[in-house]
Amino acid sequence: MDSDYGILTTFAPCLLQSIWSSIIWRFCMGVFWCSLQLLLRVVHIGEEAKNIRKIKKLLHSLSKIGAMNVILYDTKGVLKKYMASSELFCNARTTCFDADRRTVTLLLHGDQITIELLSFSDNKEIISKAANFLCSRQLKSNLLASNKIEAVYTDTDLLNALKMAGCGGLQPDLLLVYGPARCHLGFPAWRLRYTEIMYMGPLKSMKHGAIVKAIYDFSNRNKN
Amino acid sequence: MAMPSSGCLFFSSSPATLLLRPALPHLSLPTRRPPRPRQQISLHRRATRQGNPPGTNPAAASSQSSPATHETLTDELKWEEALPSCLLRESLPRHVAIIMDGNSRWARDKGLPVSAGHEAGYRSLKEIIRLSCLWGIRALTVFAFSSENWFRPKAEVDFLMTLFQGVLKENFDIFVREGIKVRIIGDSAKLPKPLQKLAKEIQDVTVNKTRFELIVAVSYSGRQDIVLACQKIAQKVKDRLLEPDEITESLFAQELETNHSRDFPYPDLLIRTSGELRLSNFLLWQSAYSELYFTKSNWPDFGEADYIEALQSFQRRQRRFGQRIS
Repeated sequence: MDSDYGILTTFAPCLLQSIWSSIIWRFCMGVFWCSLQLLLRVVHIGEEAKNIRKIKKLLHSLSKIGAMNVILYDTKGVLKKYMASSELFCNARTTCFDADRRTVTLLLHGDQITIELLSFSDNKEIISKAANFLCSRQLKSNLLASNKIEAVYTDTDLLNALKMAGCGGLQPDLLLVYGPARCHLGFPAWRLRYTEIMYMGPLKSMKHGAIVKAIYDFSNRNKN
Repeated sequence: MAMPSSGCLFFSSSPATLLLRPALPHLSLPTRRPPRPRQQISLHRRATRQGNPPGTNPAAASSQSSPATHETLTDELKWEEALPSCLLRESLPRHVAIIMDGNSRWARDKGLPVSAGHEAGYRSLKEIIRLSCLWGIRALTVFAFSSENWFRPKAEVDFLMTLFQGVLKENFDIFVREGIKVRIIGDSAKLPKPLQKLAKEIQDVTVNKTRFELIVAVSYSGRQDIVLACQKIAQKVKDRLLEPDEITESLFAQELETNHSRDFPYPDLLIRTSGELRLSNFLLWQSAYSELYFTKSNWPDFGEADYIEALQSFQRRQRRFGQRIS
């Protein structure tokens, strides 16, 4: 198979992806399933985020593969606007928004998938808010205490502050980047520490087989 | 998640060996000459079109007929020839960051001790610094030792600290002579006292150098960088220099460890070797718009050809967008 794979990638990458999507991934699903407790993140820059048809297709692909938690990120927050209008989820059986309407749980093809929508404002602005929260709390403590306490923060302090500010979610295991730029474009820095980053090309060229291959490669990687 | 395996700056195997080993090649940076004056554009079109070399004195060269002109032209062409023809000077990244991963794997693949891998990694680093200076890249940030690496066996950590100290001592004069500003970022309180002292000394002595910036991340954590920025801001609030609601993103960014570099705080290109596809807690905030380039080469194998490929990849993507993402 490896030699066939080598030939096919040289002469027919599209054919290879079709093969992956129609045949090979079915055999590999058992392998994927146990390791697929992962969060995937997709990056779109502004224009690509408007391609709702492709995004829906992407979500269906991820749901078929078995992803249970997905973060969709775009710098300008276009996806959040679409979420507000529910345009993204009109074919879903069940749509359940959480209180801040940033996370939604869907039932697609009988599988439940939770989608969190993030944008650039959830990165640096949120950290600034978290810093604000920590400083305010420190000031209050100093007002109440007779001796002023030096500010010494830990990772946990900031993580809790980020949760208070509304962006303290899980760290994604795998980040799929769609778009012309091979950057993470301001994905929440706090959540990116050990995330695997794979560049997938433009969203308009998105193929189910490519996603399957990316996840397969991810599952076979040695973590260090 | 497991900790990053490597990304350490490893050099020769022991301090005693440092004394006995033949001297490693010193950095040898080209002498930059000022550009020719405008009236000589017809003769030096290529030279002037690409702009002044960074760090040069823009004062006009001597007249066309003087003997010094020929020397200037020759030197300019030599400097231009130093840049590979496949690279465009105007679209080179100004600041490159590198996660130097794969020393141990390289050694293991060759059946060598880990120390050999680290020594080879040091040679790669010296070469990349040399090429960066030669080609006009202004800043290089390298991930030498992560905060997670402290969990390695004590003997190995002590060994690494000794090696790092040896490297700084060995290259101290070179940094000063070649105009390289050295900056060490990370939790320096955890470093051995002699190393802390040496690191401070080299930073103080080179603080005003402008030709090139070398930022070495030792005991560094991207998350801790963010936490410390919060702490600094909290101190300002406590000292009544700032109100909590005045905290903004840009204010926050000013408190990060990399902000000492006013001109190049954020890398344009971030390279990771050894095939790993993660940032591993390196420059999490600063890398938002950095082009990410992952290569399967282990760090000791990353040489001029690999560097050119990374820079070409960066330039290809920039040309495709039509403008730099900022």
